[in-house]
Amino acid sequence: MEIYDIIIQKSFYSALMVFVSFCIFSGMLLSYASIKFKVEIISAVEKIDGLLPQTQCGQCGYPGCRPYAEAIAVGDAINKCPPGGQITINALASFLDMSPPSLDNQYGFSTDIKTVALIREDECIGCTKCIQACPVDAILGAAKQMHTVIKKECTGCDLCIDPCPVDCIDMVSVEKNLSGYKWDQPQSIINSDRARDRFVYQIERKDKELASKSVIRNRRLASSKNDKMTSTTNNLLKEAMKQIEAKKSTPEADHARFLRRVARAKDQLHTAEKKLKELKVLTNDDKYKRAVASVESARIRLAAAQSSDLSKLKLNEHII
Amino acid sequence: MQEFAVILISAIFVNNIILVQCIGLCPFVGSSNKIEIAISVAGSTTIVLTISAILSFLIDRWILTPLNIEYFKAIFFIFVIVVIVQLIKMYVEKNKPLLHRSIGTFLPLITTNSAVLGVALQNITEEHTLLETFLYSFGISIGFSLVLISFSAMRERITCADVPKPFIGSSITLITAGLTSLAFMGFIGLI
Repeated sequence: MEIYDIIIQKSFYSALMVFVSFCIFSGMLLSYASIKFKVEIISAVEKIDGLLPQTQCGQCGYPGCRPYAEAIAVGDAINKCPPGGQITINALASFLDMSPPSLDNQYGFSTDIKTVALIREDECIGCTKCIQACPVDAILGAAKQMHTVIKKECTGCDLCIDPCPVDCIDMVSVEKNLSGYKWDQPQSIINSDRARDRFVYQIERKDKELASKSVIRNRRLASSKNDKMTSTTNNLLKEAMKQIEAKKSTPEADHARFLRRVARAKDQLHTAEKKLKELKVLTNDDKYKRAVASVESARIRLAAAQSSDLSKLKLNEHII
Repeated sequence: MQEFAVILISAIFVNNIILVQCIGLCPFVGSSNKIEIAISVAGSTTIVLTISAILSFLIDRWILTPLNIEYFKAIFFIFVIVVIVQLIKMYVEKNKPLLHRSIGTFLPLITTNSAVLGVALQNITEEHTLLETFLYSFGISIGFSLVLISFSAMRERITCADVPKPFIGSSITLITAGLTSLAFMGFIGLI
């Protein structure tokens, strides 16, 4: 109790104690947080990814810039990036401390002209295939609606051209004017953060969509198991069947069917006779025999149809 | 309800932290070159300022006042701010990498932002309640963001303008800040 009184009365001690305990507490908190929120140290992959142009075009053979950066980190060639051109290769070479090779033209040719995709909107049928192909979500549109390219976000990767079923996408060069002006190559490579962010967003979005789709599917399966639903659909089906049956048994419907059957039988007889006439010359042929038989059977069927007796028709068919 | 609106509006305009109280001028001049940077700084300051002001208030109410050591509050509050900034930085770095890319660089700088400490201390001296503390510090950070962002937009235009030679650089910035400050003085009659 004495110690407690001293602490309360002499505020210096209490201040010291509070401060020290607060320091210890926050130190523990921070060390716990540093373990819990530990981030992997920015690796060589990130730095290489930072040097790539982020067009996400896949011309290097990898599905995007990040996978290519990973491949470079484990020793792939650095001259597979046509959109980046020689400047990217030089930057990569200086980062990896090697002499810069020239661009491998097997993967494409580098051009100085920046292009973006442009949809001929009159011809677009709204199939959404280009939207799925776009690595940076730069195409806007919905199913059976006209699509359009967000020019500012397009990296000019060409990936939307192949999937288009009506070939309505063109690559057009971007003319330089005041709106949408960008500095030339080295600067534009540095300013590619946005495309990278959009690539990451796009991957996240697709994952989310996949997840939500599976949720919806599971829900649908669960509901189809539900007895109520099935019983109501069954009832509907039964009613429809009853209606069809009712239609069948009316005398008018019977008559119509009888007429149709007669017409069909007449038609068959006609074609069979035609064939027989064509084959008249070769009397002892198999084909001729078959043609004669078919004429016979068609005649019987016609007779049966005209008599409109269902059982007789079936019987005749059985005999044939 | 009206009181709260008064607190919020007075914190944003009448007692604007930068232009009227002249606290936090370092980030105001230092990070208002580009509007993107200004937005990042404003966002991170808003988060840190509000949270640290509330926590400082709670610490004062529950620890410092019962033990009768309020004179200790400046050091304590600095400590709280440092810890909070570190925690937020770690959290953002782990869970929001895209946000971290935009504001991550500026988060540690806020530790030395006098506005954050100033607001925490003001809340104690003006004897706010918890809700008032929240409103006041949030309003202050909104006012800070408003001035910082609009001023950075102004400075982007100033760099293109034809400024007389003796005034080029920080002098024209300070002159503009002074004129804007004069304009903000007009809000004093608002409440």
